[in-house]
Parts: sequence; structure tokens; C-alpha cells
Amino acid sequence: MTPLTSPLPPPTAPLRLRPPRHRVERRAIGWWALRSLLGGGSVTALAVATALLAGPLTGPVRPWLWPATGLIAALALAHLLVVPLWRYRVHRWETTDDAVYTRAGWLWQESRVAPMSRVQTVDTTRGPLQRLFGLAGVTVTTASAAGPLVITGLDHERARALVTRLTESALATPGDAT
Amino acid sequence: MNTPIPEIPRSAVPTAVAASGWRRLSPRSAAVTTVALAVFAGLPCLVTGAVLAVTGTLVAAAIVAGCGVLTVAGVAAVEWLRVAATRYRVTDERVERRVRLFGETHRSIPRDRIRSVDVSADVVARLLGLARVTVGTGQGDGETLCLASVTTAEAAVLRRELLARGVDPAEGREEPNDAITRLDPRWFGYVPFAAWTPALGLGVFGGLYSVLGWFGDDVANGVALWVWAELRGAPALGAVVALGSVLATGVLTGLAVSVERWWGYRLDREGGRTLRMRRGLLTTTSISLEEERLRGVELVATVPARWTGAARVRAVATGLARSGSQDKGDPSQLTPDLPLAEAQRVAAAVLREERSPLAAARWTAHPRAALRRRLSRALLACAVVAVVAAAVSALVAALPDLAWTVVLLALPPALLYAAGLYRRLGHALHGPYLLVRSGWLRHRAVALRRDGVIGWRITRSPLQRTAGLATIGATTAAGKGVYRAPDVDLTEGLGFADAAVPGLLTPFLERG
Repeated sequence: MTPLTSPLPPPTAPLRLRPPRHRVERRAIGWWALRSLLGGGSVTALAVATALLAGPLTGPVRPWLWPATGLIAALALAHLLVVPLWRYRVHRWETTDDAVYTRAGWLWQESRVAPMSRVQTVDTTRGPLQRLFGLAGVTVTTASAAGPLVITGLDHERARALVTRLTESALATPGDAT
Repeated sequence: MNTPIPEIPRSAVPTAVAASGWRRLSPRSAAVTTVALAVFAGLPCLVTGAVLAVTGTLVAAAIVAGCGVLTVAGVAAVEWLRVAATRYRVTDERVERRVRLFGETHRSIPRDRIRSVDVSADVVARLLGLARVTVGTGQGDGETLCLASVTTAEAAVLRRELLARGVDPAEGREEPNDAITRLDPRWFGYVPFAAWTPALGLGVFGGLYSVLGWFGDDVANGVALWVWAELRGAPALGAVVALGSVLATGVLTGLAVSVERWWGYRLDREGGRTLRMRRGLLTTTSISLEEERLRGVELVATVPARWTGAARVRAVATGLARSGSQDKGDPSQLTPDLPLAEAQRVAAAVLREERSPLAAARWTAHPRAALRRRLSRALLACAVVAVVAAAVSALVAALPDLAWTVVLLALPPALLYAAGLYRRLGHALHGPYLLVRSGWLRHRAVALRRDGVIGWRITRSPLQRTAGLATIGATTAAGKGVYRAPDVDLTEGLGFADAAVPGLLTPFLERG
């Protein structure tokens, strides 16, 4: 009853996903940097403390302890310098009348598309750090167990407006969202 | 948002169950619980009490007997109260259950929303003619209503009437029931090849050991040491005997479990729109699945049963993944392990197709770069193992240099595994279905309805970007939420996704 389809037309030129239209706020770089600083800083502090205390507590300091601490500090610094800017280049979002389209990540990058007709809920999320930068995130859930689409690093007024708009569009689009 | 499911106008004709008011659960199970407790817990306590009284320690006698009687009375009272406090009713619009104990809990499910009515009964319940009825909405755990003990006849009526949604009983002419498949006892021949057979055997011996432990640790350890000594006496024979007995025990246990679970298995289509599976030797289970919720099927084959040509069919349906209430196992598993051809036939019948799309489709192989990725992962894993082996050999003076031996032993299976993984990758479009398959130890091939795809998730790792690959995931409300085609060529994969759900991805694609 079903025709044998051969769905793929011969590719003429390589096909790509174009990046979503909008970047996130530039302030998001600061937010990611602060996050990296707190995370990397606490790990480095822990390593330094270990290296400092290991001598008095357990006798002669192992020779590799300080180089290892240095490596951890260097990695944390590299993360701090590289990742926020990298994320800013990758993180993008776009909404059309029919779909929500997001891209996120840095080394591993994830693009998500969800049709408006399948959107179930739209919420804003704001952590304490995001609040510090006047930022907010928008979470778009569908019926899939694969998790929601998340746009982080938006201006919080803009996020609120986006939620209102998406909620209206989702309501206006018929369908039972499954 | 949780859009309400649109009201389906119901006919005003009252059905048999709808006509009645609030009803009670059957008190039979509480009665049996009471008797069983009295015989197995109360009586021993009384006897012990009597013995203690005769030997003169009256206080101890009173304590033992008193505690026993009180415990039995307490537990029985709770059982009776639970039964006495529970009422349920079925009206034209809804099913309701009310438990008035210390507080009142009231659960009510609109009949339009009922998507499943599952019936199960364990041995005791069957002897009493009772069953447990679970009414589900297909929305996961929170949205079920469970009636712990109703009579078998009542359960059958509830099941039939609650699932007869939108069918006017006055017209009453439903489609006839179609049998999709029945148990073929030869299928039990696949049980010994289940991956967990050795684990089952070991588990049984572990259980035996702990049972021996009840008689004292020295008894258990004594037996274990004796067995060890006997086996060591003749190492070769001992190894064979040990391995053989573990495997044989595993096979027997597996057979027993399988027969208990799948005896009397049958899969039918009822009234033209509900799939119903029945199975069970001691504990019988009936699981219904509305076809409206079905988004596709999945064929799963695990090594070593796969080498004997076995596969099982799972439903990809919404609200099923975690909705399985007590001891029903995986509710989306539609069949036991059965011959691949039969599995394909069942898959086709479930999807109402003449041929299973999983068998009929022309699969697209994944690019060579996907093979290279798997091979290099295998090499990397071997290198890590070699480094560890070299480090161990260097640190432990007594050991010879193990690194090369380990590499020579590990490399061939690792490379074969990588090649096998690659060979089993595939994706395709076939009629209204999107198909993906992957996995070697546990091979899964999914046919997902294209209209059940509710979005895309495209991930790329740094190495995938340099190799021009991507992992294309179709998200869906059913099953595990996302079905992925790993390591497809980016252009080809995007074309595949764009063709699968026309229009959704198109505005975000560009050429060049």
C-alpha cells in the first residue's frame, strides 16, 4: 500500500544548517566568564590547598603535585579565556511563525528545531548569576522525553516578551502537541 | 499548556457500568490476607506463647502472644479499612475512586482521556477470582487510577466498557477482533541464548549460599570450601562442571521465568483500534494499547540470541515508557524473543502494513568516515588498555611485559566490533515511516511514523565537524523521546531529515 520512496534528491551542492538569526546578549559572555571563573577557581583553589597541605600532613611532598596543580590552573584559565567567547559565537536562536530553532554548545554543538504546533509550555528561567547580568533563559518544552529547547543569555525583558509571543503562537497553532 | 483532549460527544445511552453508583472493592482479598496472617503469623506466636507459659515464663508468654495477636489484628484492620474506605464509580463522563480513611483522596479521570485499562492478577488473586485494574491516561505515572481488587467478571466489564470510547453501544457493531500472533512454544528455545543466562545462574548459586547462611555462616562457608576443594582436585573437570552447572541453572531459571511470564501469550487487535496483549502462567496480565498512541515499532535483537535469529518487537507509543504499574515489566514490549521473520510479520500487522517497513526499506549506509571513527575508537581503547598493561608490568616486577600480549589479544575483537557497529548503522525513509538502526550487542531498528516526529536534534562533535558528519536525532513524544541516526554525512542527513518532515527544517537549510 505504501510506495517505495527514494526520498533523497541527488545533492547538487553541500547542504548546511544555517545558523539561527539572533545572537544572545553580549552580556552573556560576562555571565559565562563568571561561571567559568567560579567553577575553575574553586577547582584550582582545591588543588592549591591540597598541594599546600599535603606536605605538612603526609610528609614529603610528591614531586608531581605542584605541576599537576599548575596544569589544573592553566586549564581553568584557558577555559575562562576561550569558552565564553566560543559560546558567544555558537549560541544562537530564532523563532518563526512555524518553528523554534536554537543552537548551543562549544566543542560539542547541538542544534534543535521544534515546530510551533508541538510546543507545550514556554517558561523563563533565571539563576542568581544570570540575574546579576540582567539575563534570563527561555525553556521551550515539547512532548518529547529528549528534553526542552533552552535559549540562555537573553535580556530578561526580551525573554519575557519572547515567552508571551511563543505562548500565543503555540496556542494559535492547532494540534495536540504529541 | 497540557492541551485538554477535545471532548468527544458521548451518546446519552447509559452503559452497564455507567448505570450504577458508588461501588466497593471485593472484601475477599482482605479476608484471605487476614486468614493467611492468622495462620502463618498469629498461630505460631500463640503456640510459642503457650510453650513459654507451660515452661513458666509467664511474662514472656504474654508478650509474645500479645504482640503476635496485636500485629495480626493491626495489619488485618488496615487491609479491611482500606477495602471498606475505597469506593469507585463509573459515570458517563468519568471514572472516580474515593478513599475515605483519615483524610479523603479522590481521583477522577475523564473517560475521554482513558487510553489504557490493564488487568493483572497474581496466583492468589486468581484463586479468589480477583484482579487488579489499572486505568491509565497515557500521561505517565501520575495519571493512573488503580483498583486493587475487583472480581474478574467486573474487571472484564470495566475493561470493555472503559475502552469502548466513542463507540455507540446502541449501534454496537464494532470491528471484529483480529489475532495478530499467538505463543509458539518453540520460541522458548531462544531463552537459553539470553544475555543474562550466566548472571541468572550465578544469582541462583548466590541465593543458595545465602540460604545456607541461615543455618550459620560456618555451614555456608563449610559447604563453599568443600565445593572449592572438590573442584580444585581436578581443575579441568572442575572448571567444566562449575561452568556447566552455572549455565544449566541459568538456562533452567530463565526458562522458568520466561514460561511464567509468556505462557498463554497472545496479541490481538480489538475493536479495530486497540492492541491487546495477554500473557502469564501464574500471574496473568492484560495490557491494552490504543493505536492512536502508537507512533511506530522497534525491533530489538541482543547478542547472543541475535545470532540464533531472534528478535523482539516493542511498541513506540506515547505515555507508555514509564506508565507500567506494578510488576508488569516493560509495557512496551509486545512480544518475547521470536524468529526474525515472525517479528517482522508482527511489526507489519501492528502498523497495519502489508510488509514491515523495517524489512522492506532500502537502507542508506553511513559514510566511510563513520567506520573510521569506530575503528579509531577501537584503536584508542586498545591503546589505553596497552598503556595500563605496560604500567602494571612496569610496577609489578614479577610480571612479564604484558603490553604486546594484551594488544594482540584485544585488537582483533575490538576491530571486529567496530566494523560490526558500522555495518549495522543505517537510516531510511519508507512510505510514512522514518527508519533508523544501530547497535551491535543490542541492535535496535526503529520505524517511526513521520507525522510522529516533533522536532530535530542535530549534534556535532569537533571530530564530526572535521569529518563532515552529524548525528541526526528525530524527537518524538513516544518511546525514549529521540531516535538518532549517528554519524551520517551532513548533507545527506539534512536532506533525509528535510524529506522526512517536509517544511520543518527547510527554512533553516542553505546550500553551498
